[in-house]
Amino acid sequence: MTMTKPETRARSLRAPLAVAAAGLGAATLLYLRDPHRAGAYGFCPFHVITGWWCPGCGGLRAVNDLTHGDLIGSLSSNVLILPLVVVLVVAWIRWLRRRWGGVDDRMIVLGRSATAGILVVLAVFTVVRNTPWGAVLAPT
Amino acid sequence: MSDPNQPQQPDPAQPGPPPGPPPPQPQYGQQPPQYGQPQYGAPQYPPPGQPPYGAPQYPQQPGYPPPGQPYGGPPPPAYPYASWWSRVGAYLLDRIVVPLPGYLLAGLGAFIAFKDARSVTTTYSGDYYYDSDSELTNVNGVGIAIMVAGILLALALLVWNMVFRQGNTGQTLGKKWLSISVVREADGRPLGPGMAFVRWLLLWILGDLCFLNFLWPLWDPRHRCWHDMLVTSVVIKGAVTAPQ
Repeated sequence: MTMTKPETRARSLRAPLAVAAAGLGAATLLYLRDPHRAGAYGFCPFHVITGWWCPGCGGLRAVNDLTHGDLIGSLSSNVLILPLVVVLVVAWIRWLRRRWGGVDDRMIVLGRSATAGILVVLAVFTVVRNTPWGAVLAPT
Repeated sequence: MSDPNQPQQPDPAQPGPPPGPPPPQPQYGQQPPQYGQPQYGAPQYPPPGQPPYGAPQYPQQPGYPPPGQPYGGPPPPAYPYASWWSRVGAYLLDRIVVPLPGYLLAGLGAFIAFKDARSVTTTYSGDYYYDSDSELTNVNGVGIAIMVAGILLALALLVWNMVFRQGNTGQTLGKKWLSISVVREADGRPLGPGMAFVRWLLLWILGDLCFLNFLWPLWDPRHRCWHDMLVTSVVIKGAVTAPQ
């Protein structure tokens, strides 16, 4: 019953393809310009001001490690990045399939509980990685 | 990226209850429908987990939920939410372009103030001590005054734009140029200067925090940043139809 015209479908697929291009472009940039070199992409303002690690600190290094296939290195830079990348890839594939089927929705929509959960995880992660006991979660 | 504003009509084959609760503010029902939604302005979120219109919709469209409603997601939005790009654009315009006259004046003042100034360093030294003293001389006092006036002008423009203009009309100049506005979610009215100030302050305090706050509209069901959630505002397309 739902027949999708080709031109409609092409328009629907524009957003997923743009997101994929942006993601691959960012990964390529992080592969070519190594964020392990201090200041290669500037400095985290939170870390500069407070001296603490923010939840995103080590994120660029973690992506760079992933582009080299170094899973352990990625997890030791920022333990959240590997699961995040997996979630994003899965969400993107499902999104592509929905858009192919004619449903023009967004890639990810977070409900109230998901929002609360993510913010709590980020807050706890930020605190723990700045304590002596949680030093294993600090970027290396 | 998405189009959450598609009108969602109940299936005519199944005459169910009218969509959503009756609008709490009758004057909104008399506004001409601008976005193809008959009850624009009246939030109509049914309790979570309950289908929006009571009537089962899946049997009519096997395999696909109705457009605009993600899988297991929230009910269709009551507002035509502004796009992320328009919000980023308005933010940059409000931060850079609106206070620009003040910045230019301050720059002109600084130029006049320090054009002929020179730094004189006096050195004192003896057998057991060494000291030096630097002093700026020949600073133009009028230039300093112009510089301070420029900074105050930029600040005044920011406060007028972000607090009073946005609070009273729902639109900063940047939002007006990009045809979006910020309203109270409960009734679609402008925030008022007080809440507009609180919202601005929260934006300041929260900053972007690893870009998360700025990116949050991308995946929030109602396209909100954290400072929107905290003052229960939403940013919508178009101007406020009923300014107070």
